Amino acid sequence: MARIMIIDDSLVARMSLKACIPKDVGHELKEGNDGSVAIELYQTFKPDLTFMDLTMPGIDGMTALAEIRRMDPTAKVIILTADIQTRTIERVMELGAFGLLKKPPVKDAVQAELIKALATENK
Amino acid sequence: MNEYLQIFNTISLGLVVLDRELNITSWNRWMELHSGIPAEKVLGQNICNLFPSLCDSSFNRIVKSVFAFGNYASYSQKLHKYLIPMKNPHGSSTLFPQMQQNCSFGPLRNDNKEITAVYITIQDVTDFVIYEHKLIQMAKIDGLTGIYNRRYLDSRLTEELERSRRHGNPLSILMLDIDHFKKINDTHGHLCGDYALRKISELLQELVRTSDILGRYGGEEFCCVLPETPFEQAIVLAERCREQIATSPLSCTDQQTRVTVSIGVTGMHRDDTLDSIINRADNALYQAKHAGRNRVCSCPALSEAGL
Amino acid sequence: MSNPLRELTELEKDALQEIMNIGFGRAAADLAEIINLHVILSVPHIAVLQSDEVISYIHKQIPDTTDMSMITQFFSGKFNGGSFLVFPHGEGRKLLRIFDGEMALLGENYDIDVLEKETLVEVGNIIIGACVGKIAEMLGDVVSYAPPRFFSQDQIFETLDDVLNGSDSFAILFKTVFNFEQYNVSGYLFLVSQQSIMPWLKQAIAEFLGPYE
Repeated sequence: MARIMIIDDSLVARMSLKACIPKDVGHELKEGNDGSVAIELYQTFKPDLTFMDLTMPGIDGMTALAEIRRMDPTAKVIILTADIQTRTIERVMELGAFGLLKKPPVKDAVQAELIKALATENK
Repeated sequence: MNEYLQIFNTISLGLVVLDRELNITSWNRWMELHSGIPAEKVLGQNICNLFPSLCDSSFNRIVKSVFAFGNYASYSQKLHKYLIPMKNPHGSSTLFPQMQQNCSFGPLRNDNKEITAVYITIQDVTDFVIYEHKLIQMAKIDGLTGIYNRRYLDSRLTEELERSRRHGNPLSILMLDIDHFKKINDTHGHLCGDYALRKISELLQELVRTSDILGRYGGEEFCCVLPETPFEQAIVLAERCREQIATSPLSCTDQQTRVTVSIGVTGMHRDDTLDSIINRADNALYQAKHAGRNRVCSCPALSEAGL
Repeated sequence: MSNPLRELTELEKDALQEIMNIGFGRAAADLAEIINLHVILSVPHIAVLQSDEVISYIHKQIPDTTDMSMITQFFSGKFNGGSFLVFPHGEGRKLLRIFDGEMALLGENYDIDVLEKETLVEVGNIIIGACVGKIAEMLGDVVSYAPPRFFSQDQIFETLDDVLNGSDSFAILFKTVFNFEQYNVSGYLFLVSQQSIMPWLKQAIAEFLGPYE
């Protein structure tokens, strides 16, 4: 049972991710559609876990990731992206992402990350 | 026999099929004929082992992309000359000893629509390339003398002026004109006049260096662009040319004739345009004529501004 | 008279947008990893337009067609249409550096415009194949390609005119900006499909959304 934030400018992308998250566990979900919403919402909602897209208009995923990690070094952010180039992955991990998932999201992969993220003790 | 198989073996185009490991799985009759390698020797072999020079970046990039994306790919003679080294089938050509080829690549799919192989077509375009080369040469070369023509010289001079300006190197030009050329034609006939032009072109070609650009500028006028050559050196070269020509007998229709040239020399000025430098060289040439012909006159760049 | 089959609903549009994002993302990743060609593809823009509006739409996107080069390539499958890769004129020659090392073979007898054209065709084919191929894949289709054609400057609008006018009344247009960082070259990619693919497209989108509903 956790607070989960989902950030993506595409309604369908958010929908498809939500469909991969188990509904019977009582997770609380909040959504946003760009980086600035992500940053604001992070502070008010204080999610245990964030799923975030990289390519968004306005403030993009990389910038939002960096900002959220700056505000809270314990923040757990999983990046979702179609662009799975090595250098993108490296950059994302350097910025402190908890993990990275390929789009479109697949139930098993999403649930595996969820379990990993929520099992880790907060320091 | 199956119609497709007949086409495969009689078509006048090379057809090769590669599997994902780049092993050759098809090699048609045209390929056998032109490579001199029968199919049995290549089937199952890796194409990179057979033709090591082939597996450079372009070929690899194209083949990988076709396997990954299923796109149609082109490999043009203009960029690559050829794909598979083969002898020029049109007889020996020193310019093009190898067959020039335009190639294309495409995906082959199995019943599950997965790409399992890539086909390559190889087309012999050597005769087009040779023809095109001839046309290009004709556009650059003066028919009678075989040296460059004015159009080409002008464009090269413009380039060289720019290059000299960019790198801060000196550049000089010579303007040569055959003395009393009209008299040669009138006295000995036009064939002799033509012979004189050819002979002088030959002499000049031997005297100038490979980096120099020699062209026929007008009826009896020649221009030579000397990149990276300071003014003083150009004068020395001009004098050598004048002397060689004056002392070379020109045998023409039984009569020994001596021909002389007048030469104008100038060096490049930083603000020179094609016109200004040519004008200055022309003025120097005019001075040489006026002063009695068979001599070199020079006009250093720093004196009068271009007319 | 509006025909539901002619238009995409908001949800379908969003889904198609996401499909294209993912497709282009994969295309860019593959281009980089497989053939070491680094391209940045912008988020694609989708529009459904009357066929005769397509030309003026493209016109507005491209700053100056008198100074452009274009590769066109038709593709066919269930996803069928034409792709138009447009570069500012002269940009293509920067891509010649891709062939560094092989260029020594060319000697002095070459025309830079011809080389630029050949380079654009060779590289353009690959980009188009990657983008169109990945989208088709996401939509559950496999496409084949006609040989590419090259046009420059004034030929461009004549060609677009010929190709796009006088066909089905609606067209679906996808536009993306691509950028080769290492060569500092950018251009546009337009994919135009006739409205006749709409029923299949809607079906393919529904299948994509299927697992998520």
